[in-house]
Amino acid sequence: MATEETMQHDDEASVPETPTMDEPEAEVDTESVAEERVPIVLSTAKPDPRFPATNQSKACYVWYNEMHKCYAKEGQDADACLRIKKDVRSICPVEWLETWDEAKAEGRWWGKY
Amino acid sequence: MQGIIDLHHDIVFFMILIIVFVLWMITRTLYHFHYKKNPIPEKIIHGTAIEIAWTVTPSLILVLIAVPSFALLYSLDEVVDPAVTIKAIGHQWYWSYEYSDYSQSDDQSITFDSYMIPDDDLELGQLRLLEVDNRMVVPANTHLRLIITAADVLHSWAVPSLGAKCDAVPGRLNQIPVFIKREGVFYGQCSELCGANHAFMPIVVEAVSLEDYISWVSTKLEEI
Repeated sequence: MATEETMQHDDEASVPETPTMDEPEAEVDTESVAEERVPIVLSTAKPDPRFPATNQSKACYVWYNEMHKCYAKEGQDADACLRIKKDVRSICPVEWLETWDEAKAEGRWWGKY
Repeated sequence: MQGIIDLHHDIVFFMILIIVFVLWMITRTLYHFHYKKNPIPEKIIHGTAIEIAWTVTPSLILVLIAVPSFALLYSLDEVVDPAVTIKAIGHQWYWSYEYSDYSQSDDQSITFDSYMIPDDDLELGQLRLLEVDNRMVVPANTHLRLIITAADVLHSWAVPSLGAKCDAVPGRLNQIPVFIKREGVFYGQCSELCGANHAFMPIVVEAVSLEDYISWVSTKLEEI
């Protein structure tokens, strides 16, 4: 497997060196576009069975706390925390998050984490 | 939305049957009890059996209508695993929208304000008091989750063509599911009296194909 991967990397590296072929040229184009734009994935927070009601403000607050709990336990870059963070950002208004982050930064946060 | 239309059609069908029956009864009564045809009126003015019948039957009909109504009411709240979440935030007096699913880094979200276009700036074909500068762009044929809230006073986000109306309450996030079945532009207005310019904060939803939506999102991301 490792050899296959290295082979693929070699191929990609050699693409700019062989511009005479049609296919590698196309690859070069897509690569340059991919460098400029991160691919957009349609995904958002899944419905949480704990919050089935129309009012989702508690979902936002609880997820925000869970995110900081996750930060405290696993660190800010853990995959699990990043997933919760994505959900929090999906559902919480930017203004709310700014207010809470500010309270945290100033030591006024009332929560445990 | 389809559920609302279907329930309306079903109820209208039975309503027409009832209207025809009632009109037939009225016509028959007028005909048979005309003073020329029936000069000496009947003295009986009370009939227990028939009174029970005409009280119980309509209430049964109402109960029968209530069953699918409640089923629809609760199914309208159900958010089917959505692909996109959009936040609509009411302000005095404009709507702002946030798309936070696609931001690459911490504090970046696609956010924009949607102001009504004043009469003087309207172009030919644009709708007066309904057109906005930045439309809310969404993909068609996709399950959407709208989070409706307000930043100052009560507002209400309503687009009749989508069967959507939801109060925007400061400090509360109201969630409604929306599924738009075709591409197009849908207009709505603020539906909760929110101050002097309540009538001048319209809503415009532009449903586009998924590819167009993706390219719109990437253009917006580049603008950040």
